[in-house]
Amino acid sequence: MRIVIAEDMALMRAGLVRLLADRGLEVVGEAEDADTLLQLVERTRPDAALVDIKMPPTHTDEGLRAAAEIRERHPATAVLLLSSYLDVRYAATLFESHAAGTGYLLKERVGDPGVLSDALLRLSRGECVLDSAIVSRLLNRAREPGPLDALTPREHEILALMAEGHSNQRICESCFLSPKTVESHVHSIFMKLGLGDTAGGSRRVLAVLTYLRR
Amino acid sequence: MRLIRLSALALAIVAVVALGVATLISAYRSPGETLGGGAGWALGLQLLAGLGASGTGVYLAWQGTRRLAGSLLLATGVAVFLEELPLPGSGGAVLFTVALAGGAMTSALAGSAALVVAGSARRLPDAFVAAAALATTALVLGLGPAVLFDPRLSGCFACSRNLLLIHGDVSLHDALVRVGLPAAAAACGGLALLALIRALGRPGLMRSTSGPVALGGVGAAALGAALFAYEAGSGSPEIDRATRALWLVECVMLVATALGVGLLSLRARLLRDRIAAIVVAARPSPETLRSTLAATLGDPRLEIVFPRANGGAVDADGHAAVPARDDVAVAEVVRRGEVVAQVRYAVGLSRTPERVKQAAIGAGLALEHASVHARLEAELAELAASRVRIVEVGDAERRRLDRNLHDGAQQRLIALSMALSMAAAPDAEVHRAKHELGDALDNLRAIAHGIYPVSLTEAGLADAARELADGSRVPVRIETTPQQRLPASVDAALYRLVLDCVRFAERAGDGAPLVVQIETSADAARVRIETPGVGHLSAEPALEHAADRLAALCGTLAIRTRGNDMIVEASVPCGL
Repeated sequence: MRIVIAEDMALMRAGLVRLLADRGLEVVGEAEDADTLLQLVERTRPDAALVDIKMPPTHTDEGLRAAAEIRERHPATAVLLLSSYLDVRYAATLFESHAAGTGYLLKERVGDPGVLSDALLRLSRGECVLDSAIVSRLLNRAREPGPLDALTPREHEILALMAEGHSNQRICESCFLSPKTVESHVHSIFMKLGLGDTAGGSRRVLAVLTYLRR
Repeated sequence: MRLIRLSALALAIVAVVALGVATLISAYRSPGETLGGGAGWALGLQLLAGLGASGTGVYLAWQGTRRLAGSLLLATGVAVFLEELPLPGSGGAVLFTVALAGGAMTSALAGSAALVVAGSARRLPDAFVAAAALATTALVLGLGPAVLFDPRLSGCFACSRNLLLIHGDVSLHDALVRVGLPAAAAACGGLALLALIRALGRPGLMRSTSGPVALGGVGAAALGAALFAYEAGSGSPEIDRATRALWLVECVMLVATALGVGLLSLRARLLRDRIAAIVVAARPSPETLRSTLAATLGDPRLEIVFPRANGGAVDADGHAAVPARDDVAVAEVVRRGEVVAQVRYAVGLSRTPERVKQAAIGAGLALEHASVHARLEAELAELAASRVRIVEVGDAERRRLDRNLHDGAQQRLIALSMALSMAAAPDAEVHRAKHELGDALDNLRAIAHGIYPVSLTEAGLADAARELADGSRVPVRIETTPQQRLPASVDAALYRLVLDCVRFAERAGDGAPLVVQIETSADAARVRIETPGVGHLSAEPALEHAADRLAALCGTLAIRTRGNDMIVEASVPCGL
């Protein structure tokens, strides 16, 4: 798998390169800012780009905007955003426009190489990825009594996995359930929450995310 | 100083009155020898002229602004009596001698006074002309002949003794007088002409109390010149009908001067009393005060500004006043030695400096009051601005700190955790270190979270409130209308209010949801927060910080309760 990295902090960048190489992923380009990143992607056509949200010159949302542009111009290149902030805002903005093939992880996940490479693999398959810490923050936030209270613990678990962007196949594997059972759980969850589309994929993530933020 | 001036003036008045009475008595006794003749009306006229000129002089000197002109007029009054004094039968050697030496100075003194009020006496050529007239009349026609004049040699046996006599010489005395008369005529005529030109060159002058002084002085000097010229022509300073007529007209001039000054002063004083009556009766607002002065003085663009101790001036509301235009005059209103206000006005017929000054004195109390108010307003505005600056500086510092934590400490910890995970042989020690590192990162996030939300900087109030709701321990419902970005300080103040309410509800509420409504209009941002379950508690301590921030931005904050709910409404002007 060919990866491009955009990260303005040299120490982090070097670490990421080594980390990915250790995992058998090929880093084909490194960028310090969004413009260089876009040129790199144009030239190398990687399978995925690993992008820090905050980069020069303003250190606000350069990475986020670059991600949207990459997904727009090179649908074959997946984008994984890294952020220091637990804010849901970036993820919501990202998924609203391009859910498939995009992911959002907290930067500190890179200390766990498995999470990072796993996310990249999922993205390259067209899934989307949302950091489990953000999902758990959304699921556990204080809210008024409502349909979420009616979910069983199992359904809760499956809802969290759906929000993280896992496909039904992945949910089967991690919960040790048959595909049939998972499908019926998903159906039940969507019925209880009053969400229409039970199909898999990235639109499901957006629907769940929107529901949880309500 | 004031006491010395007062006693000097009082002494001068007493002396002039005494001299006037003595002269009157002498002239009455020797009607043929006195310049104005012995008729009752003529005596009265001369007395009025002398007293009027000195009185006007004292008045001007007393006012403090025209001391030189006042002194010259006071001297003019004295000179009138000396000129009137009959030489034979003067009633004593002292008076005789003084009249002999100083009896020709009326016109030169009056003309000099005119030149002084016309404002040009400081110019060297003008000062020279005035000095020439004074010197000619005082020395060539006065002191010079006086030291040579022996009454006995001249056959004046009714004359008193000449105390100044040094060497009696009739022919030298007569020669000096023959030279002195045309010289004095020329000098006084020149003085009159010059003073007239200077007075005409200052249009505003004629409308102030300086006007009568200038006109009267010019007239007196011109008539004096005519008198000297006539005497020079007739060959001797003898008294005849012509000299008498010229002298009496000169006296009329001086009386008119005194009347003119008196009337103008009275008019200004009446105006002052009228304004004072309005001020006392109505206790007017600064704008009423201004419009009253503007209407009374007939200048709709009249302005009142209040000078500040640190320089500059402010208007009645405490806003910095624009500098005065070049075409306006400025009258300063002084109370207790301090300039409390400045009246800016266009000089005009009904707006003489005296009238404006008197009007301002009349309004003094109200102006002082308005001045204190205006300056206080200005100080409050400065204080408010500095309060906003302090808050903004604090916010900027928080943003910087937040950025440094995320971009600095956090990145390094993450890099470290990355390095650990790549350790060649991970053992229990490494795992424990990684665990510790994870805790450190969590700690760091918790600390950074309370500093300054990045969403507030990047996305504004509504998004920051949503992030706050995502992490809150009580349900928060956010209702917003589509909105523009607000100024950072407004965002920060309103966010702080939402934050304080959420924390209050987390601490003391009953778990029911908060409802936060955010709306922005063209000129203000409004937030309404329903915080359930805290209505029985005092909200002030919890919202103190937010209230301070809102107040710094001139915002409003209303806290009320409905049942056990607290409803907080805040509005901040933001001039979008």
